[in-house]
Amino acid sequence: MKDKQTISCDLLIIGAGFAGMVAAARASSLGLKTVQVGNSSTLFLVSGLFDLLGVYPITSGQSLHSPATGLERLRIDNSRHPYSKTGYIKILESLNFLKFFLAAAGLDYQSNNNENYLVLTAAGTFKPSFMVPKTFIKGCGIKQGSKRLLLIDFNGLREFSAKQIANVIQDAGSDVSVLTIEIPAVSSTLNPIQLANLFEDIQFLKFLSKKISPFSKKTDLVGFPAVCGLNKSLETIGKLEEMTGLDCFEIPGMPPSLPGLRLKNAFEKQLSQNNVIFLNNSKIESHEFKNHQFILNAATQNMNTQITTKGVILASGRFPGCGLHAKRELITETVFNLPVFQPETRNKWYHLNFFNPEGHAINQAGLETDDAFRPVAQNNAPAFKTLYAVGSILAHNDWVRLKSGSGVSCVTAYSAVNDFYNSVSGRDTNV
Amino acid sequence: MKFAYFPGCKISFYMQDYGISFKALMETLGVELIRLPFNCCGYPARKRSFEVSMLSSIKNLALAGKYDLDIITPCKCCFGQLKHASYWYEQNPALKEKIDGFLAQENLSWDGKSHIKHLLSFLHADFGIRALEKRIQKKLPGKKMAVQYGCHALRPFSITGFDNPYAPKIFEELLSVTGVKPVEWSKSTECCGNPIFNGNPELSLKILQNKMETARDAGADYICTACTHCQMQYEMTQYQKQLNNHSLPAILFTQILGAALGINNNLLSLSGKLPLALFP
Amino acid sequence: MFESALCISLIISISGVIFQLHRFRRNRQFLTWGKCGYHTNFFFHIKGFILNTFLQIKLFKAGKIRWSFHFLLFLSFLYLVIIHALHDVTASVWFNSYGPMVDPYPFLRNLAGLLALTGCIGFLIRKRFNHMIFQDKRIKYKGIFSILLILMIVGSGFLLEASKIISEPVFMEMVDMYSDLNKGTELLDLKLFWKENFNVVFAQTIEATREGLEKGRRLNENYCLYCHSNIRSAFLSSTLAKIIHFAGNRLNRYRIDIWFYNIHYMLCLLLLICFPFSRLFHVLLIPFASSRQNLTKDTFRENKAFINIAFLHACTNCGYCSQVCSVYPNFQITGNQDVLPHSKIESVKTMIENPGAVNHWHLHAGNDECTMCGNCTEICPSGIDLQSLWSVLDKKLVFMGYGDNNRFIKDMSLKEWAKKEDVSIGLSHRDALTSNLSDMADAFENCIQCTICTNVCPIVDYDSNQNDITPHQVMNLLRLGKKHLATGTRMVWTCLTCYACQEHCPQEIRVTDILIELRNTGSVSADLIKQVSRPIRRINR
Repeated sequence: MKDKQTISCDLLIIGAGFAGMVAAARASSLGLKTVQVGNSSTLFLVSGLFDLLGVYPITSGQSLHSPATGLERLRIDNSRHPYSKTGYIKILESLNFLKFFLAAAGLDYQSNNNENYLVLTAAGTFKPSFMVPKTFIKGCGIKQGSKRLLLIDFNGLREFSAKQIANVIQDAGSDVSVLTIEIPAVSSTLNPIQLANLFEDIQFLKFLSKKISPFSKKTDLVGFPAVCGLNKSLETIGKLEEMTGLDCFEIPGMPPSLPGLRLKNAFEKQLSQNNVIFLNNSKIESHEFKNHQFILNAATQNMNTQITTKGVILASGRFPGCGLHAKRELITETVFNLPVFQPETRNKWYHLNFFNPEGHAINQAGLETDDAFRPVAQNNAPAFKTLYAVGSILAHNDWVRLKSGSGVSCVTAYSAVNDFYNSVSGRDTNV
Repeated sequence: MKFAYFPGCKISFYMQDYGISFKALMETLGVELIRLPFNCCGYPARKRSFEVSMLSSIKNLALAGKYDLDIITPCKCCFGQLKHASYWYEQNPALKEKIDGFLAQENLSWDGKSHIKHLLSFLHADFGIRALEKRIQKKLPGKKMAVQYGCHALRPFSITGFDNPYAPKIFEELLSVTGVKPVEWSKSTECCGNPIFNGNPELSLKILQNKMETARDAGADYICTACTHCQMQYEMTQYQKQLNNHSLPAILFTQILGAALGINNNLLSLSGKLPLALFP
Repeated sequence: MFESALCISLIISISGVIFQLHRFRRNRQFLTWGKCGYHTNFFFHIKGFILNTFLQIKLFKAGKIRWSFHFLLFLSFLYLVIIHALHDVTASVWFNSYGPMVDPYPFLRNLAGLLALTGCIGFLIRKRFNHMIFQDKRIKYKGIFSILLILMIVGSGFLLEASKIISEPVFMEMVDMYSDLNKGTELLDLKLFWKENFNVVFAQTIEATREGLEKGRRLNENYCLYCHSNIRSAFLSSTLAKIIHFAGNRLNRYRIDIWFYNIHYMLCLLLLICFPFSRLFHVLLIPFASSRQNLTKDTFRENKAFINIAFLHACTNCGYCSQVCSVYPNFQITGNQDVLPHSKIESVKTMIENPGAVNHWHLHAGNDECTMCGNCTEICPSGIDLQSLWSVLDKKLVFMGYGDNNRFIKDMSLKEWAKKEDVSIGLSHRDALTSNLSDMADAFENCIQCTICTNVCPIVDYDSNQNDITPHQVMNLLRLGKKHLATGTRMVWTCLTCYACQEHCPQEIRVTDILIELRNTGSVSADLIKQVSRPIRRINR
């Protein structure tokens, strides 16, 4: 027989991806008693870069220099996009909140005067991103500069090849050299965390700087894969700079990514300190709404938790996060069975051309909401007064193509929690 | 409050200090402990036979159920194993039938009603941290301690329901009550290495060594444990010369809390001695 | 003739003790590995002697009923040996008033005999109805010989006494020896008195007259009473005498009392001779066995546990150790008797004397289940340091090449292991229950090979040189249907079971549970493979 427990709280957050984490962060900062259910491991797979709007319009095929200009056009083109329901200022405010929240957990993010950085990636491309970890900054914008670059990779660390990056960016005319480091007494394969653990050892840093020293004359800038320490990456980069006398930075790579894990750890540490109750791997199995309160049953394998809450933030994500479920002919929402905006029939889900620049219809599917991000029922009125949907589950939001995932998640979560707080407390967060 | 006390196999021989300090602690807090003829929790057998470990566990649970008692244990491996068993028993009808057959031979049956508590979750959730604060007789000097969470209680959360598996804090909160200062230690939720001590002692000690070093780097002077196996593992360092330079003394949580509650040293340790610097 | 028989028996008995001790010494090496594992010092432990041999305190703690039976048997038999059998050198010297037929000695003798009989019967009943002991063929009949011998000695003693009571020849011998009466009416009166009061059976018919009885009583007072109390105080024998009274004449004719005397005496000699070779030897060994509880957690960690083989023979197969054994459920499932201490100690004894008769793999498997909780050592009424024994046994078996499955698989290359797949195919038909994960596609097909499990695995991190494949690769092997191969990988066998992978899996796959299940399956395969293979190293004598 399963154990039973009951929790009552102000706000329940369903989902522990990026949007769920921001919502929990905002809610706990506002002093709401918060419970979060979900699986936070997917954060391990994110790049750790916060994109606001990287491309607009999609057909331009160009990275966007300033998101503000793109947003203006987006608001005109697509009034149903989540960004169109919030102002530019609100987006900046939410990202700023996030920056301070993470800084408290020891994770430093930086933005570029409201313009996009161009971050060098492991593919050798430059990805537009709005806010990036401080350890990446020195690698941003090297395209324009004339700095001589040294790229480091490690024997055994797969999915990161300095040579590949060098080949791509050398074509763009940069001066790039490559160094592959072989770590003694380590077998054929290395995973990112193993390397990150090594980076926390001062002896290893000494060993590295010794390897790099022959290049110190012919290079200005050293690029590492993003594995430079798990807990104190900035400090580690600082030590490396001190030892080598060169500027150092990290290059984001393929998942599982260390910047994502740092982000996950920072959120978890800070939320735990803010007394957010986190029920990992719990599933909402039933829900009812009465007397202005939700009563939900969150089940793990061995425990049923009855949660009584005033409000719910649905940040359950799309198909991988199981927020949406695709049946043969129909896409459904899994927790509250809310109506899902979707193509009429299955054959309209995809374009025949996979790389069609306009994207696929299914990517626009999701929950439709009012201006406060409350999902609406069939009659276009909010399904519940205090149920909000945030993050990638929202409709009209092809975040992959617009490179706007983090921004949408961040601002919708932030606004939804603010709205809930205002409606419950009668106070205004804007004041 | 009344509990069936489940000491686990190792306490009676390897970790007597833990047993007596646990009992003294519970007595001071007004918790009555009932001794029942429990057998092994089933954790050691789990790596050999699923069936054996399940029968062992369920037999214990049934025994506690017979007296209508909840189980409390100071060992995290016992705690985790009993939790696992209570889950699998419901999952596998064939297993259930087989176990019920053995239970019936001894006039036992299990209805799933007895709950399993670990020392820490009991103190934090049931006894209450505020109530505990009121009982503190003397604040201990603010020594810096790293806490070892213990895998089998912490993970998997969906079975044990112990604490947030990624950023747990009940141990630190309980420790802070005594005046001791817990340090932030990135490896506090990582395994101590004890489960493979018999099969692969070199690796087990390598893990231990790394834990000691990182704990020291994190600024800790001591390591605090609340699990029989973890404490056994940390005490291994005394027998490994190569670790002596790195080793930190490990102290049982029950001794620390006991001292703060004003329990006599003789009731907390067989030798009557606790580390001097910590308990002046 | 009796004296020389006694002397010979004594010599045999003493040389038997010496022989046994020598044998233990000679066999000591069978419990050693390398330079450790034994000691041959004997310390006679006064405390152990008083508490365990004499008062049997540990037995008292273990079981009150058994203690009462055992203690009564022990005490009464001790009384019989010292006061009755050796009265020439003990009681007659110590007590002025002592006489075998002077009150209260006949009564005490009968009482002691009765208690001894009760003890023996209690023993036999327990032996039959204790299922744990009765199940094990090897110890089912152990100790029965000694008990039956005691039973027969006491029984023959009673018969002897009863036959003496009714015996006319004995009466006449006594009259000849202690009186000057002969053939007169006085003798007739005395006979009458004895016939009426003491149940003696006379061939001739004696007419009972009140006068004659009165005279007989006075004669009895004059001649007999001084060293022959009323026969009724020997309550059991006199009752027995009444029962055999009807056949008295015939019995007297054949001098059945002499027969019984010879039997009684010979049985006693037999007991003396068998002492070093039977269960009775435990009386002598317990004070030695109780002398050493050498295992502390330090000695165990430093591999310095040791045990004297002689102490194994202090075991009385009482079975208390198994009743409190922490891993009794392991026996219930596996049916391996070598899990249980009382049975395991027999296997060890056999292993020392006749290694061929023991299944060493079985013994190791049983001993491997032991959690070293110390319950058996705590309760052992003989005070044997069982925990040290298990520890030493474990090391010895490993030394002999009978290691655990982890070692067994480690010593085999993965390629070789993969070839044994046919063994594991039979496994799907066996009735052992598992957590049913590694055969169910549902349990692992959702794996997206994101490698988070591998990244968070401490084994992958710390043991990159020794470890072969990583958790996400194990999941992949399962998807490829290579379950047997997976069960032989280092990853499965060095897994810490810390559940980091399972907790972190974004697809909520029960990675650790699967690894543990694979280890269980691998363990069963290994057991099957072992059955047809030899130990890795030959037995080192």
